[in-house]
Amino acid sequence: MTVPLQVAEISKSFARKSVLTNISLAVPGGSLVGIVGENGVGKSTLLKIIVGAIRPDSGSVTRAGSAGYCPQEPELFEELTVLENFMLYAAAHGLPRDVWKKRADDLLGKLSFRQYEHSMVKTLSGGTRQKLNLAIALLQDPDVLVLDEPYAAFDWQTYLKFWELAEELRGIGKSLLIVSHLVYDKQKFDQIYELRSGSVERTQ
Amino acid sequence: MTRVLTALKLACLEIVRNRTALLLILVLPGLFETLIYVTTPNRVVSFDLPSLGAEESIDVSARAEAFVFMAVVAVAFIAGFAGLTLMQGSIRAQKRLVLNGFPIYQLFLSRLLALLLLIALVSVYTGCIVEAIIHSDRFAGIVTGLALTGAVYGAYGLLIGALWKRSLESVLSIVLLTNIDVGWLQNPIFYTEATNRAVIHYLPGYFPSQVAMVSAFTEASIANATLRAALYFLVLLLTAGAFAYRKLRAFA
Repeated sequence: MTVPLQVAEISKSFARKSVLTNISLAVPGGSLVGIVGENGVGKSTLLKIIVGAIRPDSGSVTRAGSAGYCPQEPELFEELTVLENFMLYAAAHGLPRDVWKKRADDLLGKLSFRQYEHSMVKTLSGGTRQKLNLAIALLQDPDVLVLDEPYAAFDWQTYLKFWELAEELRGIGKSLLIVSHLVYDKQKFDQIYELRSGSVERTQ
Repeated sequence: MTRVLTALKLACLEIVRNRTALLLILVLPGLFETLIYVTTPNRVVSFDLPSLGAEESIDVSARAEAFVFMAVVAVAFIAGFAGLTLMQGSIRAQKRLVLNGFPIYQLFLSRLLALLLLIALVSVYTGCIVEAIIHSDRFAGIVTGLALTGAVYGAYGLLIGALWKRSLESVLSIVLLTNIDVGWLQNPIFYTEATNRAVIHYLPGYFPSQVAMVSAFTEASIANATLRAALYFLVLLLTAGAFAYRKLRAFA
């Protein structure tokens, strides 16, 4: 089985306080992997290391293929519209206009926020911002999706749509790594890792 | 190139849609000049311009001197705030862009170009206001002085935005330096009586404000001050770029 994402012996400390110690995990192709743990155990730090936002003190991350990252707090250009945000992130990936327009249109429909495509991000509700935050991660059709609490601000309908989308992506061979402080739907995951006191343990 | 142009276009939109920035751009030059018109007497004042040499003194109306001086202050405030906004306002989204493959130098370049476009625009229209009042023979020189002030303070805004996380401290840094430097110490009337002029020469507003003042009231060359102001801008810009790189870099 191919392993598009491999994390090997990652350690990270902040101001001499150890947050992560020798974390290793693998995300196989076409799988849905969850990372759970209480608040403050270092879940978001681990994800930031995985996507390259911060540097680990030791260890390595190996990615085969492209990765899409959805941060916990929406990281968007507030003064730009939804479509303009898509345009800018599409420019980052070097996507041609017809490709990203089609992809954005598809995501606007799937996540049910097409009516906001010309609205500025600063005027959007928390849930709609989170939809855009997630859609940006999906824009380039990545091989691996790294999602940090992606459904925290979603209403029930959107939450269900999120899982439909996740299942669909897994079905076409994409890998998803989802961080949450709570996992309501354990049966939806192929693997679950629990972060506790800086170390990780596979619980499912 | 397409990527830079897309980011440039959207950075311009960000500035135009930022209410505070827009308010400063539209209101500040006119407000400052109106205040000068209302409050400053027309009596003749005498002051030194260090670019001209120690023995040369200029005699002009206090109001004309204040019009040029406050135009420099207005452009410095606007450029500093715009630089700060462009760098700090969306820093986390910019970092995400870099994680998504946007080269840092292209992102920085696009935001710098947006800032320089804004500075050019503000300098020309502030220069037009000044020119309409004082009827100088060197409109281009005044605009050059204002644009250099904007460039130096815009780069300072970028640097502060790249250095600090919190907006309160950042805005305070812009307001404090602008106020102390171009808003106070670079006023030729204060400078003439200053006891330690060397300190004033090292401040970022010195060379650009000299370009504006010398252009407005003399026929003397501005080449030397222009070159030094441009160098000051480059040093600040490179420092801002280095800190921006440190903040935005990806480790993947």
